Amino acid sequence: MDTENQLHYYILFKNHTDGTAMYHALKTAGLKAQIAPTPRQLSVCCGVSLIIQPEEIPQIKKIAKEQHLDYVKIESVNNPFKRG
Amino acid sequence: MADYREMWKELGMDVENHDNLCAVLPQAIGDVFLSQKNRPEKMDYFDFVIAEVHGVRPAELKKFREEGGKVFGTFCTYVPDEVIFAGGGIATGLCAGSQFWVPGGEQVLPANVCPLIKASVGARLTRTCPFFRLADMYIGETTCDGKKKAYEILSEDVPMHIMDLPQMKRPEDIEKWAGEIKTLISKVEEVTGNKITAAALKKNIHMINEKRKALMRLYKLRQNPVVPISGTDVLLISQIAYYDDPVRFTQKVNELCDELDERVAKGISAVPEGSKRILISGTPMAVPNWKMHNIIETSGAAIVCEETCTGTRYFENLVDESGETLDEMIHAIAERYMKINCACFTPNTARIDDIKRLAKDYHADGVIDIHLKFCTTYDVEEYFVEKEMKKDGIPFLEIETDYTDSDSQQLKTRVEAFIEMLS
Repeated sequence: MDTENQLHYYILFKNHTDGTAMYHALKTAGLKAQIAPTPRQLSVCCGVSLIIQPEEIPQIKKIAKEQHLDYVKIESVNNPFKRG
Repeated sequence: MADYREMWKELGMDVENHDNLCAVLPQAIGDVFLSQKNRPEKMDYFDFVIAEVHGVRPAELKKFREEGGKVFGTFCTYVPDEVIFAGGGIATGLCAGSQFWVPGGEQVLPANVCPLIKASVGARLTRTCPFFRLADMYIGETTCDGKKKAYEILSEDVPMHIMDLPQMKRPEDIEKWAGEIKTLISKVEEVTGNKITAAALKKNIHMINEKRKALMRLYKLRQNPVVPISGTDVLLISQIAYYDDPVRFTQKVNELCDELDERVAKGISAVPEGSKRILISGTPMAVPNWKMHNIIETSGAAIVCEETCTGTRYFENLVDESGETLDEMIHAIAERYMKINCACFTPNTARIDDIKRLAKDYHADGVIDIHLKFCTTYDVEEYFVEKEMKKDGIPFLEIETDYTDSDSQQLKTRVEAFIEMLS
């Protein structure tokens, strides 16, 4: 397994309320979403974002539009989580 | 992106320096928590809390203060939160678990003081933690010499009330502790402007007992042969217990336990098959100190219980709720809190009994006693822990460490060898 490269896809939010609303909507729809702190590479401040699966991005955008869920953007960053 | 910088500035924080801590936390959380496989779904609340550690809860406390509420910072599991909440205040734990704050503490404290104390003082003096800025008063206690004297220094910067914790557990000491609780009641009333009534105290004893029961339920689930949740995840929950809203926290722990009940029924394990079961004992692991849990659980073991203040010492034993008068309740609180078996007491044979009992109840393959460097009480008491473990044939490893990564490789080698030996 490549421990030096691991692309994570994040949805970024203006605030935690938007983040939790999106999280619950995605889980209800059976999509994968992991609550995570926003990596420094993507934000100058702290806060919660969601790690998502890239293949589910079209569905996520559809759900966000249909349910009027706010988010700032979807971005990827190479930040492997190194266990041990 | 959530921007708490305005809030932090209003709290008088050194936002630029604090940013250095913010910069490293996301990766640390990713490495320690998000890299785990097969985590329970209902860890999502606790992932949210830690992702927003210097945001959401501080914002709640700030709003509470703006509405006239008073926040009390605490450093020790002996401080009865029940009293603070009964006075209409909010109790928030302030123990600090990061090397980031230690140099700040070392500006005023000797280097040979434990890192937990140095980090706590450093977090206040460097103005790099919102919780330390939000507390209107800190409640200290005379547990160890290091803390006793460090509080004198902190009192130059923040109002402090010190509870005189007895050294022994004789009947007269329990009576003395009841007296200290009465004094705390007067202090909380003075600061909040609210009278603590019997009804308010009864209600809040029940609230905190419910939190204890939820944690007991969580821990009991780890006694199962199939371990439904990692020790690393439970440590996070125990750390959050010190500062989250008690009612919300209790609800979320119970929701998690509902899922864990199902996992146990279906035989779903959060840890690899064949993981050796480890009981941790020793000094508390304040947030964000995840060092030893991470090392142990990436070395072929699962931590199934913690006999620490961020473990069983936080929630074992309930306050007796049968009392109706303030006096009865104060004595019930004193009785319960004096059952916490910290090494600051002499003698402390009951802690050794606890470790043996927990090793049996949690089917531990081995015990790892971990204490922070320069913690004299736990370091000396390790002699008795090791002696009794050997007597009972329980494999035992002693570790002394701090918050730095400088000994991590060496510790991993020792832990791996210990776990290998258990096989």
